[in-house]
Amino acid sequence: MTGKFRINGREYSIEFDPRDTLLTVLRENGFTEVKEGCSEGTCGACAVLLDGKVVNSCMVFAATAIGKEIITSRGLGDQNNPHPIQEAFAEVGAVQCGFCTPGFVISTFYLLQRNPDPTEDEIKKALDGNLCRCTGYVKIIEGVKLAAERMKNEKV
Amino acid sequence: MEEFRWYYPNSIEEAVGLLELQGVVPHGGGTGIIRGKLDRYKGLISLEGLGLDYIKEVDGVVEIGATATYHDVIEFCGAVCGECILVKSLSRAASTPLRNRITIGGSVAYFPIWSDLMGPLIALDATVSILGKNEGEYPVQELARNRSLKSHSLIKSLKFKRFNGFTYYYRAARTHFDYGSFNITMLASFDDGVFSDVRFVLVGSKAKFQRLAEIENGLIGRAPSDVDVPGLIGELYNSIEFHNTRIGSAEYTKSVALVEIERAIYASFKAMEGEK
Amino acid sequence: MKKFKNVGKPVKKFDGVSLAVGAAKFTDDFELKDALHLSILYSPYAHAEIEDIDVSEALAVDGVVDVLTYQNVPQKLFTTAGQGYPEPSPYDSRILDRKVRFVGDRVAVVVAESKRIAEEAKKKIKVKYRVLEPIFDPERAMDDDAPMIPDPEAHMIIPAKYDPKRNLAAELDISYGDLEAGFEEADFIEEHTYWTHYGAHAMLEPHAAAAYIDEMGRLVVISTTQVPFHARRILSMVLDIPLRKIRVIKPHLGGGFGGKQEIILEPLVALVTWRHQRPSKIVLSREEVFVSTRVRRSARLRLKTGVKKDGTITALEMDVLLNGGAYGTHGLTVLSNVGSKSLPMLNKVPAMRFFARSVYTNLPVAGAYRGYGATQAYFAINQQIDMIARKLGIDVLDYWKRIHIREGETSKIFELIGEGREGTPQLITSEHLDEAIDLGAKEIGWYDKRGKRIEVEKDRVRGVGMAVAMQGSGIPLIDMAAARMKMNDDGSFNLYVGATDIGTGSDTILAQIAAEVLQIPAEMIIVHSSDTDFTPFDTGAYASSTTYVSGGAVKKTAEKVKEQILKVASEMLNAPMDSLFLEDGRVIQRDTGKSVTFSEIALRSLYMENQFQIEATESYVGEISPPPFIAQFAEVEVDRKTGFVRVIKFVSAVDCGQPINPRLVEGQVEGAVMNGITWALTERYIFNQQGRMVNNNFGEYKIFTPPDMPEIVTIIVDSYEETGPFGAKSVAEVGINGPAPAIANAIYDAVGVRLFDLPFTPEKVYKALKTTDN
Repeated sequence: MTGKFRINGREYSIEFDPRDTLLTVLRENGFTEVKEGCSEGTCGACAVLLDGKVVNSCMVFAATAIGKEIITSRGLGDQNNPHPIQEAFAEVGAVQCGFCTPGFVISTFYLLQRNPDPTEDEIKKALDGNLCRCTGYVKIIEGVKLAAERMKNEKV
Repeated sequence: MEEFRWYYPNSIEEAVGLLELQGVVPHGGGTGIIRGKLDRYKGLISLEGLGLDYIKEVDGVVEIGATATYHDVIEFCGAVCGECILVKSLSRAASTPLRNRITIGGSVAYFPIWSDLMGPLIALDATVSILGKNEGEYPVQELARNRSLKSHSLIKSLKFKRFNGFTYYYRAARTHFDYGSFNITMLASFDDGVFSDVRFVLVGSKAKFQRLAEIENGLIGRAPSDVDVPGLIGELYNSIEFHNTRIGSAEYTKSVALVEIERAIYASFKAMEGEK
Repeated sequence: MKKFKNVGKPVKKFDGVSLAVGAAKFTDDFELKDALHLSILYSPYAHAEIEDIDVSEALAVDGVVDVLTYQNVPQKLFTTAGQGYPEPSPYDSRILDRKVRFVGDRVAVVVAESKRIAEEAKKKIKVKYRVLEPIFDPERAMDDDAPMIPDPEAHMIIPAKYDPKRNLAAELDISYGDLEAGFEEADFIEEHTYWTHYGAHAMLEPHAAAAYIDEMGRLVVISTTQVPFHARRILSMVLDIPLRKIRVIKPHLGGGFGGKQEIILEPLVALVTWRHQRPSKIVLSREEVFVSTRVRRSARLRLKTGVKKDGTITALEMDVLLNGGAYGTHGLTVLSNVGSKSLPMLNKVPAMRFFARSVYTNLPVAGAYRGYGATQAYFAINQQIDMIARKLGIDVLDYWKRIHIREGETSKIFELIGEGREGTPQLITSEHLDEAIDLGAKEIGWYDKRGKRIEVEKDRVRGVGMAVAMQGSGIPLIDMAAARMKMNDDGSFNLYVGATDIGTGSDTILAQIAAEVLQIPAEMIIVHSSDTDFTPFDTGAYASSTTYVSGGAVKKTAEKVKEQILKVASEMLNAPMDSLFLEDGRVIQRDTGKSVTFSEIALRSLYMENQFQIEATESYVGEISPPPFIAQFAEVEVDRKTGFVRVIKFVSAVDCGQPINPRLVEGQVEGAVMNGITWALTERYIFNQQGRMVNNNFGEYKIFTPPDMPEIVTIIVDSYEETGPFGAKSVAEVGINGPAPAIANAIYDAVGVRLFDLPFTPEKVYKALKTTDN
């Protein structure tokens, strides 16, 4: 089947199998920042924003994402113009192997949109769907705090 | 490979009509279907265009449309009543990205044994509106027991009376993001130092879900000082059984359940104390 | 502390932003046009022979190009262990074999135009198995009537005890001193048996490999490997493709922890691409990673110590049985490390015996895993010392300070146990364990909490426990690393290293080392790593070797480059070389203050006079392996009624020498700590009666997400290793050794129950509480 997808602000007409997940469709069309770590909704590496809400793209049928706004980590920033979350993660050492990072960035973005000044406990709960094996999460939490701080100041 | 297709009905009538097709089932959030074997289905009906993602409260009765997500319920109920039982239980279910996807209708349809929705709904005496072949309004337990009710039928919504009293939720799990092994829901109202209403549900035992009448009867009409808690727990010993669970053997799980039931009771005592 | 410009600074990891954005490419992210997709059929039996295999129906499926079975692939025996040559692991594996040895062993590989076709066609393969008796219990593996698991032709290519007929993968029997007299002399004997369990690396990126033929007809393999150079060598050997025709590239790698120190998928894509002259690709599912790749081997350790009333340990005997699963990869070396990385800690013990065996069973294959045997050993040793200290009535902190190895000392064990051969004698050249113990104790609040059994809530009791450990920094006289560096027009440098950044940030710290030598900002170094065509040799990312060994190579290389820079500058400034020094990208004449910039030097040497490329290549082999030391502390809360254990706080104080990049050092420790905590509490391989892992997904194999984490504190102890690059040792592995024993000791402190077998499931704690009856 064919569907029109709005990904990172651009519209794409994509042909796909009706059983494909959004993850498959995104990766096969070059959005390789969306990572496949488990394909069962348990690791969060494939997290994207779907109409503003964080979802595991492996748990979404592409057919149900047609016409919706999809944002990936690369939709938030790029190497030369990173989003404050991406910048903060890199700065504090929240990125080790980096495979899980785009997913954490998306979950963090979702949190900070809804709660610009989260407590440590709120940060941890907001990241309950993301696994990381490298960092022990310590620097990731630090990165979220730093990003929150900078985003607040930017808005002022 | 056989053709697999999506249906996007624009009205409930149209959706109900599609239920006649063989091998075609409704799709809410998809989190259950996507992990199963897709070969079983010839098609999926997207419920998105049906406007079933509503949540409303009219005269103390909360109605939740089938495609409202866990996240939607937590937001709505959290804003209305703060500490209500569904906020407590659904906040513990799955993970943030999954709660944005799991729908109430899908959960009611599949009702896995580790569901964090089941206990509260039973305690709330919730009912489920069904459209299609078995159109009607059913107590949630009946739907959970009788799976055939769901065939060629569409879950439209859930209804329950808002509960304003003491709420308690416990979930036995290995980690925060885990399938629960069992869970306990307790709702209680106090009146002048005695229990006026108690609803106590255990989910995950061999009975899958059970209201613990022993506890309810042992508390209602009594003040905490008149309750023989060890006696009540002792009574339960023979009425709850478990299979082996993720946290451990059947026997061990039962021991934990009894401890946590006791803790729930004491928590309610403490709450009553606090109210005074 | 020494003064540095780059070293010791939290320089931002070079690829951090690229990874956070998602631009950085991992193996599965490369687009290969017209690639063939591979799907593997696995054995449903733990031990069986393929009597007949019919692939005709699968081959007939539209889009299927090939089906590989033992009948049509090279049958050379090799080891999947990505180790130096000659490998100290048995040659007991084939790409595909007629015999299958665990549930998850490979039977066939379908090659098709798409992944979906390959997976569908796989279902049409008909296999007739002759089921053989499996062995799951390592204690039974060497019984007289036990069936032989490995290949009858399996062999070691180095002299080592190996007896495949008896399912013996490796054996060591090492001793010094008079053991009997030692036990005789003791006032009491402390003897216990400990069990550690299987563990999954659970790196977030699943194993993957891709291959293509380049425009010159050479084979290029892109893979999730910690060991690109070993991969190239082994591929050439197994597939009979000339080594010069193979190029192996490690792109960004999504975590390894030892799990990718194995040549597992590379032979499949290489074979398919070479045979069909088309690109090919395979990416494992999470389930496949759990079941068919590698695990941490389980261990049974019996530890016997003779102790005098004054605390002197008079003799120590460690008897170890490791379960390596169906193949012998890393068996001998992990076995060696059980002893060699742990027993030197107790170097004052006058008599020791280390008897250890690694056996084959029909369970998933054990390989390398962060800690590499030391983790298993420290689980036993740290509990044993805790028990002895309690018996002696002294604080375990004071006891450790009395007995641990110290700077300037050695241990007999260093020379007795090496890696697949005899060891290398070495003195401890830097050791600050006492400071680590003191700093960690202070942070955890040891003296306010130890033995206090604080009940924070009814039936919820807290306790503290600790553990110490050491590791190594590369394998002495075996691990070799090389680096190459060249200067560019603008005074920047390309640094080429074989060293394999697997997410640790080694590219960044190696640049920091080079930048320190040249006194320039680290950003002036552009790092290229892990490409067998373009970067010099390096053994790879394992054995905590990169900072010390690869860093040593980079330092030597940068020093050579510096010399050339000074030479050109001396011509330009007309001043003797020894009157010049480097500062901020310039060479300055000490007396006149005259200077030239690096760019001016580069432009002159490249374009103007006495032209040549300023560049150098250097190699480094460590003569010793200076161990990092760590003291780790756990505070736990035990639910006395249910047995649930929660870690409240975890503190590590590490002596890793001079940290090159403190943030990355902390990151290594924090990751290792979390991995160690979940291994102790929630991770476990659950097998059914047939030997099949039943919990092969993250839903059931539980590692923590952020809400589960305790407070984690990491302290870097002031230390300097004279033999290391700018004082550095290593840090990647040591942090995983302490969590399990520290938690065990803390549980004992809280509720008085001693747990000897991992993991500490709530039910085990509950049962122990019941039987202890306290």
